[in-house]
Amino acid sequence: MPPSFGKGMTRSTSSILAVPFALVLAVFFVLPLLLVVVVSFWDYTEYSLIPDLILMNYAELLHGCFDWDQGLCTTFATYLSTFKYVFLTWCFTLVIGFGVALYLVFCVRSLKMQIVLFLVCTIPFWTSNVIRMISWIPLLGRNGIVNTALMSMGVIDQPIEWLLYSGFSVTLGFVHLYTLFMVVPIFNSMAKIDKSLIEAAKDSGASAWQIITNIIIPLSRSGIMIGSIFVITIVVGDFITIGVLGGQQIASVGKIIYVEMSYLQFPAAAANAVVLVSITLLMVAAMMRIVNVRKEL
Amino acid sequence: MNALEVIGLSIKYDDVTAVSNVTFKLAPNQYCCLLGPSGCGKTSTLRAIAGHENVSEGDVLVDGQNVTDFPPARRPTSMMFQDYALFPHLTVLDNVGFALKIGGMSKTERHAVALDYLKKVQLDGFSNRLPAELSGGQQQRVALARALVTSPKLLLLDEPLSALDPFLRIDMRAELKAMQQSLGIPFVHVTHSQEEAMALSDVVIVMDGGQIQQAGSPREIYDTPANRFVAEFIGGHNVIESDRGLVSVKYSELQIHAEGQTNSEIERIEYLGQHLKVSVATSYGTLHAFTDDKAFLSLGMTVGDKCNTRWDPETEILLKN
Repeated sequence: MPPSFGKGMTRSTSSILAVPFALVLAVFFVLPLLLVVVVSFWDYTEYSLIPDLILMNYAELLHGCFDWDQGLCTTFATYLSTFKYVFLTWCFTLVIGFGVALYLVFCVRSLKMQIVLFLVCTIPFWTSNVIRMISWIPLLGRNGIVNTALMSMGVIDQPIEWLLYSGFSVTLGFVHLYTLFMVVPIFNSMAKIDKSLIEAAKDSGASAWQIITNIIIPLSRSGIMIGSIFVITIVVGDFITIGVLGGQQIASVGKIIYVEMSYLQFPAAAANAVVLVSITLLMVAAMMRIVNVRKEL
Repeated sequence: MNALEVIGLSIKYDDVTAVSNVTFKLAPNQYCCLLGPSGCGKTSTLRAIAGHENVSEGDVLVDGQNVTDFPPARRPTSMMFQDYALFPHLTVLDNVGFALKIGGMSKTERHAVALDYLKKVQLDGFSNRLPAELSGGQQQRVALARALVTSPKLLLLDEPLSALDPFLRIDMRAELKAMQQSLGIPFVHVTHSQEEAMALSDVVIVMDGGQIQQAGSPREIYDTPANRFVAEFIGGHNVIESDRGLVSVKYSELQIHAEGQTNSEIERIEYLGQHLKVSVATSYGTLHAFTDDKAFLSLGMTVGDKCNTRWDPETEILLKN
């Protein structure tokens, strides 16, 4: 029987069609990840890697972490700091991304204008990530535009110190860089909402806010979830933005891994990476349990 | 007092006029159909009454109150949408109770009220289903229950039966009428089916080009169409340019005879059950006649035969254009 496509496609033909992508994933994703897991059990010295099966890297990672009277161990403190930025970035990108998508879908009437405004949102992506980060420095620095302007207006006498190389600038950088990752999936799921549902809700007496909470949020939750997964997984492993806008003063898990790598402590870095990936996967799994993204796509 | 009064209603979008100078009144307990082809302005008129369309000129009065500038929420009207617009993420019970939730009613109370309305449409066994798990007819009943739960003074229905299959459509049509009579509020029902309008309405408003062409009882519309558009749209009328001007002769008044002066030729014969529809080519163009099947078949005529076509001048209805 010749292979048939579409409706009559059998299980075996569809598996064959999935093979190329499965191979790509296996070679470029699963294999490297397995290698990282394997290396995390190796031993190392200053100049060599020793294949082994030891738990030392994990033990060092958690060293002193359950010794409560010593205060928070470095690992826990770093995770806490990382998750603080994950949480702040998630909150701001969610609110801004939801707002932008809401405006684009429900306030902009013509499709042409929607497309134009949507493209405007992507303009920052015409330059590289790092350039977009660095461009904040002349704006926020001690003698930057913001401080100079405020001082010349007489609002402040002394430059504001916390504008740059601070938690503020790191959060600002993350929000600036990743809001679009929230806008796109939310826009996508909002665009699928039938406009007559909004009218039906208005007809039932709902105010704008009640329409948002009762109709629009529940119906765009798959977009919200996908956007959240994007933002959270990106920020959780970041070390560049935190480095550049935090003035190399703020700890993050990604940065620890980066530093360990630069000292050729690959097994230690691998152990850190395995822990980070596991935590991230657990978070994503928890989010997927809340919303069945597959069902709603 | 009139339950609904629409006075000089006009709706303009940029440079297009969708509805111009529409005026009509409805008494309480009247079932009204807005009838017309697509793009005639019937849906815009309905949406303007509901408050979903910006009115350019004119007024809408519901129950004596001028609601022209009110948002939909403040109007004592309720609308049933064409594709029902049920909230896909809410159960049937929560869909029906939605307006009550918005109104601030407690959960147990609103569920009890919503269940009452679901009973009225015989769907109380489906309260925990999602809309996607219901058939088209069931979804339509849910939409009806949801529209009625606020006890509106006027129900607006936008092509409520168009998504149903023909048999269900006839059943639901009867249910809508019965519901309207038991509630004692006017229904305004938009449709493009003249059969539906005839069967349901106390008042039919025929619209074309954004204007009312004729308003009246189904019988008035059918017996005395005002103009060419109404006569042609309502069906069953031959529009003829006679010596008296433009007239209409109903299909049932046109007679076809074997004897007498031959002035026409049979083009087509359709068997429609109760009667035959015979189409004949005449000097006035193609005309149609409904004839009794036995009487016609006894003439022994078939397609291509010459015949005599006539009508009683008394039965001519004078049309404006």
